[in-house]
Amino acid sequence: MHKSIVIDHLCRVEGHGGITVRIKDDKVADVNMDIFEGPRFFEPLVVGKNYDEVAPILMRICAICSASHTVASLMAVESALGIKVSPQTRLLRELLVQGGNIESHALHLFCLAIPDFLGYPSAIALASDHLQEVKMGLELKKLANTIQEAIGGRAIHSVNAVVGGFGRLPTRGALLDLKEQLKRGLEQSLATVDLVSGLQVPDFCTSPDVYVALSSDRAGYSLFGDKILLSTGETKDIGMYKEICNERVVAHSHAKQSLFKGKPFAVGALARMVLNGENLSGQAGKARGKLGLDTVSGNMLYNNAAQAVELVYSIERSTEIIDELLGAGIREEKPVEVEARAGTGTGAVEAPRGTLYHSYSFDKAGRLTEADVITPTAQNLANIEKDLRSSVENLIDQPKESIAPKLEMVVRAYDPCISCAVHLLEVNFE
Amino acid sequence: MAVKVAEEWLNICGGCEVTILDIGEPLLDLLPELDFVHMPVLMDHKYFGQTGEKDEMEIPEADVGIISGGVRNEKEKHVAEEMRKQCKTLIALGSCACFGGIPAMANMFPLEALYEKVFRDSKTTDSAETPAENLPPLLDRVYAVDEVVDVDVRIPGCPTNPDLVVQALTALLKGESFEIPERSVCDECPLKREKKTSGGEIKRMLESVEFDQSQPWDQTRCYMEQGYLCLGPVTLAGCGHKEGDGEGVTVPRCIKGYMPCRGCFGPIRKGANPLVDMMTAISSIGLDAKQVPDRRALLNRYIGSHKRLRPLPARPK
Ligand code: SF4
Ligand code: SF4
Ligand code: SF4
Repeated sequence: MHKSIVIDHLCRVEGHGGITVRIKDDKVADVNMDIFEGPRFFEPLVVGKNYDEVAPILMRICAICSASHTVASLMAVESALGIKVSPQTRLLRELLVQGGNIESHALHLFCLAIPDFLGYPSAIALASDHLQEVKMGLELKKLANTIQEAIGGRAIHSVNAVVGGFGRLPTRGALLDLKEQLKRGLEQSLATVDLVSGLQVPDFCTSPDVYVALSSDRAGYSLFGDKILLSTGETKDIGMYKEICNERVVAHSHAKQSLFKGKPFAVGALARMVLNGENLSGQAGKARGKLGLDTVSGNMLYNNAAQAVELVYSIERSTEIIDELLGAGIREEKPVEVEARAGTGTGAVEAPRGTLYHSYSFDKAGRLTEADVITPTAQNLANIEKDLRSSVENLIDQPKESIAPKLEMVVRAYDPCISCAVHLLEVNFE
Repeated sequence: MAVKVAEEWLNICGGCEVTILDIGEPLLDLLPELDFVHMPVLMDHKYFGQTGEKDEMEIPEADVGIISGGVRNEKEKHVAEEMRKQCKTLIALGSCACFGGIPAMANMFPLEALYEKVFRDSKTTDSAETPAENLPPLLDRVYAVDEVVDVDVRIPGCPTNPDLVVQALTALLKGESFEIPERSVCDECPLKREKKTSGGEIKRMLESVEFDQSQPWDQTRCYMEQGYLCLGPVTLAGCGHKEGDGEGVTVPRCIKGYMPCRGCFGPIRKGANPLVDMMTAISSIGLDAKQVPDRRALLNRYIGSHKRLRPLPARPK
């Protein structure tokens, strides 16, 4: 028997991807993620640019992770130029990133994952039977927009977060407003957890995984950290990220793939949950238990549950940050003054889909000479292939028509932003 | 009868699709009148049938087609052509679709040079091959959608403004045409102008403009007059949102964030040359236009298609 499954166009993931699975004699001969989208060549676009122009260009790698790209980019510039920002700037940036996390998870859960699990072809179809749920998703998304607008100045592709700090600071009034809205958001995120707890998670894609996430830089769960933590027990400094994301160019893809010691690994909400989940407190800690995330690993379909828990976490943490900002009082400070100098630096952030690295070098006039951006999806691609392979093996007896949608489900569980994996920046390990 | 809508994305970041969702409640109100027949970002509808059983690409017929993203490869070109064939009215959504967007900054380099840099030249890449298996070939540069097929409605912006999407859909639902009026961001900007600068050099954006958030908008001085490069004079208006539940003044999006306009809505008129127009605008208020660094890239940042950005012959050093 020789069959081949080609899913030419993976709908409902952000970007253009396809899967080719070749099955020969009841065995998987080949699994390829075909990345169709044209590479957008972001790296050459910033070479030669002044340090202050890098973030506004590179944030456009992906709208859904725009806040994370912005902050990682600014952190890389600052690390290269030796700039120290204020604690207030750090808090505001974190708030921006939490806003992005809420937006991305709400979108993925309500527009992509929940319709999938409930058997609807789309969120539009879901809206006809479950209008309240879809409205809730859109409202959570709107809350995230409001956060990003208040801090970043625009809901998508922010303008206020600049090298050294913020052009404009949020007013006390705006923060108080936001805090009110977060209260409603918290209720909605808890309702989302309820909704997700009712979904059956199939186990056809279970296989051992290596997880990677930043290790939190303060007590509690965090999306920031200077160290990279692996579920193998190893840790690395973020400056050594290339040792983990040892990338290779593969013939069937315009995106490079990451391997650690020749093996695939997973990043993202589930990885964070496995590595740092026990640091969660409050409602998010409870939600983690409720969704069974204190035990599970090795099944990427649980990534959706991890996202639901993080939705609660990001909302609780946003409220905490606002309290901290209000408690200390907003200091009217201007961005730190920058003196151009030659240097190299790396910034890393836990973006919604996993660890995101930006690493740059500048010449002494402050012009960029080299940029390297490694997106979470690029890191996950090899692991997606691995999961597809084991899923096909588990499903081999089923008819082709029923295998294909299940494989798509696996890919979508990673929430791959394929458009961002394909911008293709220089990576690899010498 | 509901109006059939097909949406496609080409070379994108996804921001323009998110903008469609950002319409929020009004979108749910419009939904009963709209029948989305094709929208890869949200719907499971494949080009070659659900299990790839068809040979020909299949996009259903629609009254309104929306395309976001520019055209970078053969497949995207083909999708754009199919959309044109199947849709009565075609909308180009966002600056990538209208003018190539940020990815079209790559039009300053020949394709070969880009490939060299990204796949082969890279000193740390394991495999030095350019990926080719099964992949659609790239075009020589990034094209705007209207360089490939005819476009009826242009809604630029990076990302665009959800209000404009609602206005366009509402007009099309009534069978009317839709066009953004040819006004500049300055025409819409409420900041105070004195028609001259305070003198001095063009400032970098890091110094941050002078403002007082407790004051009404007309008490803040025009950013350009403060010495910052603001692309308001040469950029199409449309990004602004009325403050206070539609009662207050309209403030352009970045201006509202106390940042100058970067030109993301593109030129005010088709075929305008913002590079030349901006140099005139800068000089007219007394700033030295020659001080603008990296002019060609900066003033064409979102609009590099239509040959506005192209490789220059190497200059002898
Ligand atoms: S116009 Fe801007 S927001 Fe829209 S797809 Fe292009 S880069 Fe993204
Ligand atoms: S130049 Fe900028 S700040 Fe000044 S009026 Fe025009 S848009 Fe407003
Ligand atoms: S002010 Fe200019 S750059 Fe900002 S959103 Fe409007 S058109 Fe775009």
